[in-house]
Amino acid sequence: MPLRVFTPEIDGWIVVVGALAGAACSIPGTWLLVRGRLMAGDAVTHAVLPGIAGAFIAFQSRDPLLMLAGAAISGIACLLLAVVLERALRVDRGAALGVAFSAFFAIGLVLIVQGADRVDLDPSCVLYGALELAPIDSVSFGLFAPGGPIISIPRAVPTLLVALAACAIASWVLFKELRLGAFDPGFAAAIGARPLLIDLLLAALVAMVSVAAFESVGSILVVALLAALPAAARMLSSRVGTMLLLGPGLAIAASVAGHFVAVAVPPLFSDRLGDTSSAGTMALMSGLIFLACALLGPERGIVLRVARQRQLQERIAREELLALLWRSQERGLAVEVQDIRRHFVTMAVGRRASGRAVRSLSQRDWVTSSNDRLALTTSGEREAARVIRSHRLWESYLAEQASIRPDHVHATASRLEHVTGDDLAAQLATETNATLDPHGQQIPRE
Amino acid sequence: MPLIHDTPATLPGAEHAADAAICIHDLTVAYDGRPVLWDIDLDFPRGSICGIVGPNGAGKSTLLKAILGQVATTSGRVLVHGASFDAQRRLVAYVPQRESVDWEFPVRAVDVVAMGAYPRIGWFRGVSRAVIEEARSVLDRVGLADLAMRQIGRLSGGQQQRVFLARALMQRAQVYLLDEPLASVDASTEQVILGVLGELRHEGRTIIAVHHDLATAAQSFDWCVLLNLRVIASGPTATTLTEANVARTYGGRLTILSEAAEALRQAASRGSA
Repeated sequence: MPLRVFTPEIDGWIVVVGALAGAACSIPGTWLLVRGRLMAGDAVTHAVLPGIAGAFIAFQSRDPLLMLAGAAISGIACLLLAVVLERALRVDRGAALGVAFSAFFAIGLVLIVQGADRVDLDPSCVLYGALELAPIDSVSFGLFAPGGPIISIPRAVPTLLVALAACAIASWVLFKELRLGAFDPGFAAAIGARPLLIDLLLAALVAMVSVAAFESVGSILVVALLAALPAAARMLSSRVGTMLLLGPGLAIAASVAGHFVAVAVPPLFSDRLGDTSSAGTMALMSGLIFLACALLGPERGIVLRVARQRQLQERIAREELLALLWRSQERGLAVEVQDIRRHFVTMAVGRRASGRAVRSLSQRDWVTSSNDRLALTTSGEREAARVIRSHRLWESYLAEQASIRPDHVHATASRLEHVTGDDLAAQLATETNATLDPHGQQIPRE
Repeated sequence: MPLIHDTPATLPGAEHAADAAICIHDLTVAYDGRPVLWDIDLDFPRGSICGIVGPNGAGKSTLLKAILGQVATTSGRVLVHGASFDAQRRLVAYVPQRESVDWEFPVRAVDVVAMGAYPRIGWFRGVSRAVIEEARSVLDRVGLADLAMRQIGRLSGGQQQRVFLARALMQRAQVYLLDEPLASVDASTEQVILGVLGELRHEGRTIIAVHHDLATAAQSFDWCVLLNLRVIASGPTATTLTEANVARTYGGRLTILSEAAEALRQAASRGSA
C-alpha cells in the first residue's frame, strides 16, 4: 500500500501550523482550566463565529484585524446577552451562557451558509478547519532589503505567531496577577488586584486565539486544543508556570502525531487520497496525549497510584506476617506455611499475597524456613518487635487515654500499627508510660 | 434653656471615626431587595481582638465583605483608620473562608503566602527571591516551614487555614479581617492561630474575626459584636457576651424584622420580574 512521501514544503508547514495553533490555544486554555472556567472558553470560541462571518461577508476580506474586530464585537455581545439572561430573567449562569453561545453559533452558521454562495467561505472549513490547505494559502516576504531573497510562508504562520506571542507575553508580564485572579478572586479584589479586569483579559486572549486558529483547525477543534493540552499538562505538573511551558511542547507532539496519523492511516482503509483531516486527527491525538498523561503522570497518574497502593498492601502483608510469627514465638508455637495461608485468608488478604509476603521476608533475611516451618531471624525479630510495639502501644493508649474498652481496641490498633513511624511510637510511649498492654502482654522495647 | 433636638447634632460615632480601627455608620446591604444587614452602626477599637458572633445567615461574612467594598451597599459608609477603604486598602489584611477557593489549584504553599506581598510588588513585576524568602519565614511563624514547597491540595485543612493566615501576615497590615478562621481546624492549628493573633494585638494591630462557636468566643476575644441582621450588642466581651444578649441574637425576637425583610424581597422580585 503506498504511503505518501513526506515533503517538507507541505507536511512540514502543516505540522508547524498545527503546532502553532495548539501552542497558542494551550496558554489561555491553561488559565481557563485552573480558573475552572473551560466552559467560558467554549462559549467564547463559539460566540466569535457570527462576528468573523459578518466581517468576512461585509468587507469581502480575510484581513485578520477585521476578523478580530468582528469576533470581539460578537464575543462581547454574547457575554452581555448571558449576563442579561442571568440577571434579568434569573436563569442559572451555566444555562444562560449555554443558551447565549449556542444561539450565536447558530447565527454564525446561518451567515456562513448564506454567505457561502457569494463569497469564498466554506462552512466545513470554518467548522473543522483546513490544516491541509495551509501551505497553499501563503504570503511572500522580501528578506533584508529590496531585491534580497524572497521567502514564501503560509499566511496562518504569522497570524498564529502574533497570537502565540501575545498570549506568551501577557502570561509572562501578568503571571502573578493571572494566577492570583484564577486562584482567589475574592482576595484579589480585596487587595486591589482587579480580578474582573484579569477575567476580561483572559476572555480577550481566548477570543484572539480562536480567531487566529479557526481557519487552520476550525472553530470546533479549537475547543479541543483549549481543553485537552492544558488538562494533560495538569497531569504532569502541579505548578501553573510549568503547565504553561509544557502546553506548547505537548502541542508540537500532538501536531506531529496528528498529521502522521492523518497521512498514514486512511490509505489503509481507502484508495482515495484526501480523505483526511489533519486538524481532526490532531484533536484526537491531543485527547490521547491527555489519556496517556492521566495514566502515566507523576503524582496524579493512575498507574503510579495503583502501584503505590499495591506497595502499601504488600508492606501491610509483610508486617502482618512478622506480627504473626512474633506472637507465635512468644507462645512457643511453631508456624507452618499452611498456618500463614489460613491466617491470611481469614484476613481476606488471599493466598497469593501470603506467598508473596513469605518470599519477601526471606529475601530480606528476616525469616528462615526449614521443613515448611518459619522462624524469625535476629533482624526479623527486630522488625517484628517494632510492629508489635506500635500495636500494643496503641492498644494501651486507646484503652487508657481514649477510654475505649480493652476488648475493642485490637481492630483499631491493627490498622494504626501500619502507619505508625518511630516518632509517633516514641510519643505514644511517653504518653502511656505502659510496659504491658491492656491484655497483660509485654510491650517490646525499642 | 438648651435647644432640644430629636436627633443628635453630630453623627453618632463621628467623633471617634479617626480613633476607631473601623467605623461603620448607617450601613444597609440588601441582596435581591432583601436586607441582610440592616442599619449597622459599629466601631471596632484599635488594638483589640474583636469577634463577630451570630447565627447562620446573620450577615457576618457580608459585614466583612461590606468593609472590603465587595458588596454593593444600599446606604452607609465604612471608614478604616478614619478614611475610606479604597484609600486605606494597604492597611487591611483579609483571610477568606477556606472553602472559598479550589485547593487543587496548581500552586505551592509558599507562592500563596507571597500573594500577600503583591500590592507592595506592584503590577507587571515578578515575585522576587527576597519575597519568597520572606514568605518562607512567615510560614515558619505558623509552623509550616517544612511544607513551603508542597502543592496546597496536599495540606490538611488546618494547614491550609494557616497558609491563609500566613498570606495575611505577608500583607503587613494594621487591621486583620478573618472569616471563620477557626472553623473545623485541629487543636494545634487553633493554638497557632490564636497565638499569632495575640502577637498581632500585642503589636497594636486590630483583629476582627467572624466566629461561629459561642463556647470559645469569651476566651478568644476581648471585644464582641453580636449580629443578627442588626447589631444586637457590641462592646467589651465581659459586658456584651451576656446570656440575655446571646438569647436575643439567637432567639426569635427578630421574626418581625425577618418577615419584613422577606416581604421587601418579594416586592422587589415582583417589581423586576
